Amino acid sequence: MADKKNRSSLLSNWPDSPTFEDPIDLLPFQRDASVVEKGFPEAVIQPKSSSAVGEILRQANHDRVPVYVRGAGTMYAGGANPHAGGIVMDLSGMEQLLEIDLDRGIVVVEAGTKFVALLEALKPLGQTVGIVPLTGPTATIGGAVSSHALGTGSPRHQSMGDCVAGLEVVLVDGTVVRTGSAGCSGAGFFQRYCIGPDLTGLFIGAEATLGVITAVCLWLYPLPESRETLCLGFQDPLTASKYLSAVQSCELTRNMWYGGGYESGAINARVSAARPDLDVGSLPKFCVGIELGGKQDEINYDRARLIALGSDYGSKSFELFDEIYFQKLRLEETYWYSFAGYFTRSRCALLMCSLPSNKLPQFLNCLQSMREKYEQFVWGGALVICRRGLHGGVVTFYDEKNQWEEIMPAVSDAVKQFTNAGIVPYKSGKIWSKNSAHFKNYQHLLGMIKKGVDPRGILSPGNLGV
Amino acid sequence: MVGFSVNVQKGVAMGIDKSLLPEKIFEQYSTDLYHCASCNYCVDAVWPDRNINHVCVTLQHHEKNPSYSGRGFIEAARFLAEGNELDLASLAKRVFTCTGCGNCDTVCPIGLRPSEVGKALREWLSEEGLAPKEVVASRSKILSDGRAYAGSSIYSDIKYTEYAETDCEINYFPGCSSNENLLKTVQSDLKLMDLLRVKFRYLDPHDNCCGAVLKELGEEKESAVWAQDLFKEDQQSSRRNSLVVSGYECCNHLSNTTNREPVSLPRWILSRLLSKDSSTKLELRTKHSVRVNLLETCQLKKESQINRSNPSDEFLFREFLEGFDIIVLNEHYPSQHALCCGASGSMKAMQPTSASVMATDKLPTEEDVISITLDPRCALHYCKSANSSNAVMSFSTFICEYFSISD
Ligand SMILES: Cc1cc2nc3c(=O)[nH]c(=O)nc-3n(C[C@H](O)[C@H](O)[C@H](O)COP(=O)(O)OP(=O)(O)OC[C@H]3O[C@@H](n4cnc5c(N)ncnc54)[C@H](O)[C@@H]3O)c2cc1C
Ligand code: SF4
Ligand code: SF4
Repeated sequence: MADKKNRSSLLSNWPDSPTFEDPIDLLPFQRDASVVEKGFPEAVIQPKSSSAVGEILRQANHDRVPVYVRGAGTMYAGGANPHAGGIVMDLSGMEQLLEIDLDRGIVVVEAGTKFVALLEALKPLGQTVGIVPLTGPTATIGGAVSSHALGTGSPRHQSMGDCVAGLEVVLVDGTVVRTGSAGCSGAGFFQRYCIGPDLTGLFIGAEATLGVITAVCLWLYPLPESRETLCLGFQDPLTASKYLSAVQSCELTRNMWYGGGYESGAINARVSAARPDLDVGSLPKFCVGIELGGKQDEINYDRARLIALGSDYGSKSFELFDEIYFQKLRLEETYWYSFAGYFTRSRCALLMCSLPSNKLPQFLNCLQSMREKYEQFVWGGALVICRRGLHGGVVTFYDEKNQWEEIMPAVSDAVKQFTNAGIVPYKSGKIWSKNSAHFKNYQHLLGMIKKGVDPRGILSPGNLGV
Repeated sequence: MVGFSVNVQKGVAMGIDKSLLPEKIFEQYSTDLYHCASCNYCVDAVWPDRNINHVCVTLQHHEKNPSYSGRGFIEAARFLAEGNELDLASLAKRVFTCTGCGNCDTVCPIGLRPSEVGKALREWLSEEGLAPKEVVASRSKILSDGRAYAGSSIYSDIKYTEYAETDCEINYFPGCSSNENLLKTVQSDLKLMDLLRVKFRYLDPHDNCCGAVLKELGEEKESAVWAQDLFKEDQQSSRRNSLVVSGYECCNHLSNTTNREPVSLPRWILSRLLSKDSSTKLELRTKHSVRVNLLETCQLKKESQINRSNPSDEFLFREFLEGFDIIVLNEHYPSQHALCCGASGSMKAMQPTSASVMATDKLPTEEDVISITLDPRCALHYCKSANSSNAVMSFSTFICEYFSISD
């Protein structure tokens, strides 16, 4: 890696890209929202254009200086934490809306654009984008693409990657490349799969290990005319999982803007906070919360079908949960709940994974075993319904002042338990990568690609285990 | 100092021994330091449901560097608490380049108080003699002049009716920004009070500073003494007239440091004008509709006594305007958050150029739009910063200039 002299020449070269080196300015760039240890950057650079990104990368590559990329730093996997030191490239200032083309049904934005800023720009046109994470007011589109965002839109589209029509990426040698149809000069963005293999996909979820995304092209979708919520209570998670598989296999997710699954602990906690007098023993053991969006007649039709299908699995409408929690979460204060809900108790470790719907009981069993093994923490579970399968979130509340030493081993243990149960890491960053034995051949291929595009290994060393 | 040793590599507290942060700050704010989820809301966020379009005016118009934000203050305090050395001059530069607007507190989804952490750091650095020279100069000037604003008091030169204490309803404190540089506002305030037949006693003939500005410059203790001295007579007033204050920062300060719950001048006047019992008739003088840009006051968004008034002062103003042919250009007024115009805190002392940009950025470019503020301190700052022909008026000047008022 580079010596100090190289670094100062690297840093003094960019008059148009603000650069911070004062130690106090580096503190906010040491970590993201995760439990992953901090890193210690030597400088932060805020480029304002893809050509500036290219020049900085070329120089950093020449000088062998590690470069970590950061959007808003809201991820919970440590990908933006500069563990090998070097530079943090902060892209949050690249937030121009580059193109809206209603005929092609696409929008192109710079990578630092915040989700909600984009949604606001699209609203007057009656348009929206496919996936929006709960961190919409702060999270950047580039960060979301690089870390497989999910959430609002997952039942219809699955993940952020499924909504990307193409990318502009800067490689370590400074080359600025556009993927998909835009790879052909003069054609512009409109189609993801053309020319050859899906090079767009190479950078989705890559956590800045292969290139720096400077612009993203997303498909546009019409804003729903109406939105309403529906909660169904089930006797046990197994029946709920069968119901979810049935819903997915008959594509009843097509007008679902959001779908969440709530285990017994989460149901009881929320109900007893709102209605302390109520006996939680009589509550359902699993709840499926659904937000429908679209034309009113489509909503009415799907709602009736979802309820009818639910009754085949013994579900009943769970209006109480809808009223005290789900409606507020989805229709009133989505962004507020995302944080207040997670963090009001304390800081928390978030672990995200992917599972087929029929593995829901195993997911909950793993969670329960963690609760029993690590009683000093409060463990919560959350499930997001996807077009196929589920995303499962494990939330571990801990006291950072007194429990720092204990939290990471517990999280690593959870990673082991979930992978052993055939549950797959989602949003890997640095948390899952420590347990990469399960993905040996996958890592082998990833390593080869990494060597090809970043031979000196300057891009986010440590992320994804490469 | 509290002490607890740290594992610097992990950067997290492990025991007691080496903190470089004063114990009282650590004790008061340790939850903020250790609970902060690094969610970045207080650094920058766009959240239309809450009318948030960027959070920290310093980042917006001075330097897009998170160490100047609420989260930056928390990170720095924690770093010191964990025994790591930090250049305190750099820290001072950052915590004093803050308007104290409190947006970072109100936006924090889990109720932490980053701006209060910033305030505590300012106080500590001041006590240690480490406040930046610009702040020290500004503070010394206030301490020697007894006033925060240049420009001499004009109340002795203006004709207005003053009543004996036993006859009046309010004790009125205009604050030291209401001076010769804000002549029209001062005249309009008094004219409206006269027209509404408000019997008032004018507090403090010398227009001394109540200490609010000193507090933001890191002189917490002295600022409280000033408020108490200035209001000694008022606090002892046997009749307990309502205390009416024109500036919002003064309102907040007085409510925190004295046993009084001040009412703002706009609230007092607007409530009267809107009262069902009022016999006052107002008519717009112009035949054409008037287009206005209502400037929000960050001090009215902070968690404070005046802000608990319901409906808020800004809401009352909007309600007042609604009865007339007035086009309000800012659809969302009043919102939950407002970016400061640069008048507040130590911003003007530290970064006068950025403070001016903060003001001009809030003014429309169209010629025929009147910008109106409820706070005289903001009015003064806008007028000094704006070099366009756009008028910035206090609410009272607007009412006096655009309405005919009769009984
Ligand atoms: C309380 C809470 C709730 C959350 N809810 C959700 C949710 O509902 N859905 C969801 O998907 N996520 C959620 N997240 C995680 C996170 O907010 C999102 O994944 C978000 O999209 C990350 O964006 P960011 O700008 O903060 O990325 P960062 O944290 O800055 O970066 C994430 C990763 O992407 C890399 N990266 C960033 N920008 C670029 C770029 N331009 N080019 C290449 N690589 C880049 C970084 O190096 C890092 O590895 C949540 C997090 C928290 C703390
Ligand atoms: S108080 Fe206002 S200016 Fe100061 S850091 Fe917070 S948001 Fe920024
Ligand atoms: S908004 Fe609150 S939790 Fe989020 S970074 Fe700021 S202080 Fe921390």
